[in-house]
Amino acid sequence: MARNRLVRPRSTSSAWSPRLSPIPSALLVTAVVLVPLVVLVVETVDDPWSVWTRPGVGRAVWFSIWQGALSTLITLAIGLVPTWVLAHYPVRGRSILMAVFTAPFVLPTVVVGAAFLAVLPTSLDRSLVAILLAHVFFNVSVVLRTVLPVWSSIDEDLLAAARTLGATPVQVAHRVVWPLLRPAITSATSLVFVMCATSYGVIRVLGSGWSTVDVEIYRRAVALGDVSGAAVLAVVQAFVVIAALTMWSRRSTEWSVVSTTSATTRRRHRGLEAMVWALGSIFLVPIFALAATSLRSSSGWSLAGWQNLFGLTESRLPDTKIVEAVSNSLVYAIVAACLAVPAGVSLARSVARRPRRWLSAVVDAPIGVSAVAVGLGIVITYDVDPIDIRGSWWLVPVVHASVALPFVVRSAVPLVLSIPSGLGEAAATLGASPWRRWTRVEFPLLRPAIATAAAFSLAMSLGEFGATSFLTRRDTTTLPIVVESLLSRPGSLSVMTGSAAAILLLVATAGLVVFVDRRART
Amino acid sequence: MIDRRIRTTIALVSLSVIALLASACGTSDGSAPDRLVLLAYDSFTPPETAFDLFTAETGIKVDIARGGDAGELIAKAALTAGNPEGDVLWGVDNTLLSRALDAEVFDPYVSTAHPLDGDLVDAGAGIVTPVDFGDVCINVDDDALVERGLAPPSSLDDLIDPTYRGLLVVSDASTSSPGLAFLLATIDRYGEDGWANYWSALVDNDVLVVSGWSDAYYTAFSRYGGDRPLVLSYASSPPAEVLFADPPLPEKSPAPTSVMIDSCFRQIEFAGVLRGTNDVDAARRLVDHLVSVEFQNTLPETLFVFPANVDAELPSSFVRHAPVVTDPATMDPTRIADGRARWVEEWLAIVS
Repeated sequence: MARNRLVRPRSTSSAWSPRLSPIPSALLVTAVVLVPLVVLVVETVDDPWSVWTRPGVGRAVWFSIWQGALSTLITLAIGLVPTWVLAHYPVRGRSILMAVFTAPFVLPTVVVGAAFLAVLPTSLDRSLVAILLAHVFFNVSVVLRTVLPVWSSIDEDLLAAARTLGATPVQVAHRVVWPLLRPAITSATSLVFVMCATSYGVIRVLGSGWSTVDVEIYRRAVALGDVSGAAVLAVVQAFVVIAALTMWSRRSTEWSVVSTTSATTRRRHRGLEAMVWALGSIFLVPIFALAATSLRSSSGWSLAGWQNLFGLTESRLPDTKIVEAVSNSLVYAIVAACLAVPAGVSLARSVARRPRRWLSAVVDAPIGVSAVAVGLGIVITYDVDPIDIRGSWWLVPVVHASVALPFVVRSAVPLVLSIPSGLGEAAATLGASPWRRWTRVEFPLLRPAIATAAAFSLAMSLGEFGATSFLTRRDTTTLPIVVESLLSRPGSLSVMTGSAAAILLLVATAGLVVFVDRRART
Repeated sequence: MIDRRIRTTIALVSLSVIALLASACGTSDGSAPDRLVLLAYDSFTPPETAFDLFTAETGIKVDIARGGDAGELIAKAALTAGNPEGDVLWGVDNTLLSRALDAEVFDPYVSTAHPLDGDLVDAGAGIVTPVDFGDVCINVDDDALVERGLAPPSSLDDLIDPTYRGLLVVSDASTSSPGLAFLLATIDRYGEDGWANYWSALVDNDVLVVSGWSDAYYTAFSRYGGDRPLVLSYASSPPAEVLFADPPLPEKSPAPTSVMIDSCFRQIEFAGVLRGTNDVDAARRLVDHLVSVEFQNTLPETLFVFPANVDAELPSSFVRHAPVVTDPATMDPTRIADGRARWVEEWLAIVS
């Protein structure tokens, strides 16, 4: 077959034994997500069947599935366009565009919801269209960040060779590009689907009347006092999600990619450039709406919200501790990245060399487990004295690391797969010491993977609200929580300051992502 | 065996990470006798100095531990009853109290150190101490109604009148605390047999149900860019509108919003000593402090609630702009406990 010449089965033998490398990831997820979920089920479930007959549960299951599929289709259709352009053409302001597309991923959903409602015509408020648009807005960055690195590393010479040999554009796309891209696209698809099907914040803000399983879990555990029913739903959702992701991941690691060089040889194309920028500007609209809210007082424009945020005027609002929140958020994001990136990238390496489906399944668990269930599980699991860690400050970054881990692994796997195996062995044969091999061969090759992973981890941690808000925190607060609490009081100054804080969160995140991208790539 | 060294390095790094975590754990967990942990919901923001007096008198420092909204707080407290995350809990209200009592979350203690409103004390069932109360009411954007040539609605019945069609936004009774309070107000008014019909009529009259308070107030309410001049909020929202107005309002100007008195449901918040605390006496003294005049005086303008201590003074913003709700709807916590899940599920079926 033609395509076997371009891609080859992944190598099964490796000089690098992966015996240790997947363990930190597995431990992290087991301790933070799986054990608490099991404890919650064991301690609270009295009747696993009755919840299924409750009103709303069946509807929530069905809505999760069809809405998730629809959101995913639209997200892929819209997300692959800028991905293709950015992969093939030099585009001015590329890193700014990347930041623009990534930023929504980290915004607290309450903020995005408010921004969306400010922008959408009233007839679309809280409709299915609003939910779908918000899901696209949130998840285009997943497509972009997962597929772009692979697409731009496809060797132009390979395509030129195919064309020289007489392949039509369709044949090139079908026989050359698609097999190379497939792992990344499958990975992005499965991820976006799961994100949309288990959507929580978007539905709570935008979807009155609609309810996903995750929202139903919250409703049962918190509003109806039915923790048993919530635990049953949480564990079933986790199983289904992990099963789905595992099936897809098996298909996506069948082939590894031979090509290595990444060079954009084409010339700028003004039309395409303009189109990508136009799309980027649409992504900026809700953000500008938010900025406008931060400046709009009850009688015209005012900087009072910003002055209040930075403590330039004597605050009339109850204590908000904005400086503390910003520094906490940054420390948490960095600690979480220090845990998630090494663990995730080493797992990606080991999975790339030898698919370990059970391991991938374990690490995917945080995507499929509701934050409410994890939060409840943690407080009843780690409650005995030697391990009574409830309320410890580091619980927050550790939970962030486990929430980010699946994204870290998924963004790293396609990049690790595109690293040719054998270079390390070659270096060893030529007499390189292990340290030299690591600094001169392995690390430079892994650097794109590490960069993407770090960007994902930082972004997810900075914007994380659900799990953080549920954990009991002793005198610590994060930026998303400050935003949320500012927006939960009446008065124009509250909403102006809250929106200003949301913009600050956005700028901090976009800045970090751009910084890490640049550092790691150059 | 070149690889072995790298593997060892990785092992050492991960071990040291675990060791670091373990040492962090060792220094920060457990409550030493000179510290108490006060569990509260996220929006509990007393002034920085609120516990200075308590610390000066007792030598005990107070750590505030927040974690979620009031419902999430109680869900966690119920699961950890007997082995709590803190010593004292602030913020269980009368709609959630029975769940906490069923789970035996509290070690019974009613503070008698300060004079408290008798009705509020009774509502605590002898287990917890009332700390504040507030009324959930429909708020009115008066200017927007005037523009439409309408008089403000005066009763719950007005809300199902076609005159006020499409003007009201409320929050979800299954996910938000004011939403549940409003549902209880209608059940109290129209009874077990009548409330469902009332809600069907509200739905026919195009009531908008949104997820939470912020959503209703900051996106659907006409004062903040929405198209609904009637919003479910609190009787204390008008003072907040004046205090946090930008540009600042002159002290004596009227509040931009008003309250529809007929629609109110009284929420009473309690504080209690958590069963399993290491130091019951100290925890009780903290509850005493929470109802002291010094502490209670800070509540109106930080939490936007009314103090439970009858000697506490209301700030001028409240005296001027918060209406006195004379006859709010109330409901016995045990009745709420019995009906709650059933009512909410029936309510969901009506509005969705």
